[in-house]
Amino acid sequence: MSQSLKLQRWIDLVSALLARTQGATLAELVHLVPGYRTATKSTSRRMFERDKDELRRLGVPIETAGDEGAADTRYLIAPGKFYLPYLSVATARGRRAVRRIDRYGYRALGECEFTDQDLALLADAATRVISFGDPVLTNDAQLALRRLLVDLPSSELHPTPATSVQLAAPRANDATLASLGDALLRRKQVRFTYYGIERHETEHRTVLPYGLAFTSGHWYLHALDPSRGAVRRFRVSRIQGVETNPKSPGTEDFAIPASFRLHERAISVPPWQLGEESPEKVRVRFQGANGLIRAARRLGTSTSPEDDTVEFEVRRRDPFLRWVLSFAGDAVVVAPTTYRREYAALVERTLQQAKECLT
Amino acid sequence: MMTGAAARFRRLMMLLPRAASVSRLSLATLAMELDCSQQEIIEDLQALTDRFDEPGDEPDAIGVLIEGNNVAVRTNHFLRPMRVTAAELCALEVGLAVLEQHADAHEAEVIAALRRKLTRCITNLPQDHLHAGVRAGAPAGAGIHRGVVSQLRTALRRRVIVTLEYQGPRDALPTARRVQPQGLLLHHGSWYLSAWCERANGPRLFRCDRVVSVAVTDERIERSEEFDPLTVLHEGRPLNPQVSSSLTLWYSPVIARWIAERDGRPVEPDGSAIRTMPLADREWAIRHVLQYGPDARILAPDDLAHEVVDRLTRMANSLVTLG
Repeated sequence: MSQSLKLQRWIDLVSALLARTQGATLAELVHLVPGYRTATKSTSRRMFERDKDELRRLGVPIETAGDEGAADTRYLIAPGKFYLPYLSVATARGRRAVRRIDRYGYRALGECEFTDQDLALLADAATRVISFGDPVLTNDAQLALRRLLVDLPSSELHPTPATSVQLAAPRANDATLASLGDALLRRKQVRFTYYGIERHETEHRTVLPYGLAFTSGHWYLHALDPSRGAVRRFRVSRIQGVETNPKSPGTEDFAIPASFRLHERAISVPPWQLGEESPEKVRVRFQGANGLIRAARRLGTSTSPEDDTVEFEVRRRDPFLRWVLSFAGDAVVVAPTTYRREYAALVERTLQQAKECLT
Repeated sequence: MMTGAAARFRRLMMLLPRAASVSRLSLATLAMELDCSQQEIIEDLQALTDRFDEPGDEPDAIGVLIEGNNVAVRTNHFLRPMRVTAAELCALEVGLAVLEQHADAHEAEVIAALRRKLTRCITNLPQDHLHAGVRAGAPAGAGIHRGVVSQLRTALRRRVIVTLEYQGPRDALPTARRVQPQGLLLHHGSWYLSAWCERANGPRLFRCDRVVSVAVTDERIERSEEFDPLTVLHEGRPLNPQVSSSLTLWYSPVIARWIAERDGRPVEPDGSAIRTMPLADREWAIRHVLQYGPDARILAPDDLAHEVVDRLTRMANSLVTLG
């Protein structure tokens, strides 16, 4: 019942503002929107303010002319900023335009032309996002496609067939992703328990969420951990019991620094490139040039394709040395000396362990 | 995710233009297009018509007629859908950025132009910045030549044969393979092409980071089998189909919890883990066990365990020689 009343108010309010080129004052809206008329003056203002904020969050561009809250302030929605432009498709077979609506508010809408390659990319982009399994992203991508489908031919908006994304196990919990996504958009601090697999410990963490990224099959939360004074990443599947700061729900707890770039952190990198330690330059000599070695060389830098040594930037020593070991002799650490010695010790320890197993 | 009045408002902003664009529309069609139930549509429309308050001064009321299984809507407003919101654009943007990672120069230009077109379709609101840059995706690692995955997508769309320049893990040089693409699989940060290889005369898996280049031909593929990713996954790993033997490994308690987390299976009482898996490639098995150093060893087959010792012995000797 209350949900339906709110829905009626919203539709009435948006209709009233769309119909008036000069917009309307709150006093005028009280006459136009039945839901406001039955309330007292102060209640109707509070209802209107709340409706306005919620509608803006839903993407309704309600503009204000004058000072917020003043009696003569006018509120308006420009149809050109509210309605989707007309979408047309240009292909090798010709151009397919959409029927324009010959009425006030619709005549001046712009037009946006897509190609069939655009549509294929859009379908693939949406499908890729949906395959990552975040319910919020999935919902938003589906809604975007549905809007565009109003004018664009659904036959052209098919994703590339036979493309499959396997999520790595264990999957992130839908409710956890949704809670973190909500806190992220509201810029609210979150508290949760986290299983730190390296130390094999579960502990409480209180962090400021800066971003959510899907990397190599897993969702990660990138967040400032004030107790450590640094941005850390947390695998979402290891997070439990998310609690969003309930204080001042309408205000933001923090701002994400302009210097923070999620896309620079959300990259799929080998384990030895992860972490906050300063990178060390390590040279590795490769033997041969098979497909495996060619792919490995691309992770570092070499002076020339003929140069058999490659330089890597290493943040975590042990995973790097084990990675070199996995080439089973086709790669060897040559510098710096500390790395070379540790690599030799690792080979020796692994050999002794393997021999013990045989006996 | 939106619920309650917000979700219903969003639905109505799609429902009204669609229903008002024709004289009448079946509820079943609307429900299918909007991916919701017929009952939800009826409740949304009834919320507009079943008023408990006095009619307003607004003359442009929305008229709704639900007759049997059909619905008719009359309105002067909402004849076009709302613009795409910043949140929706950001969701598409995550997908476009993922495609761009492996795009060739031409496709990257098309993506950039598409972004510009999409920005002309969005609303502009003060809170839009809250959505910008807070989600990202990088599902695959570096090391794939630009254009390889996008060319393979093109081939799958057109259902045509491609020629790969492919360098397998033991190939000293890349070789040309004419293959009929069946599907693309993204698994643990790596793209794999499943295809019928004409040279091998059988189905094969190709890791995309070992593909040097792709040439898309005009030759149509006549085979019409549906791609099922499960057919190329064995014990959760993408493998070529000709697997006949198995590999048993022991993982020390130091690393067993990672193994257990990944496969969801229990560890031994002492904290270690023992796993048996298909042995598709002996070289892969050696590399796999060595990546864990002394924290993993081969329990079976026995000859492979000996081979690991031999290999490590040679490695240790060569390090002594190198000093």
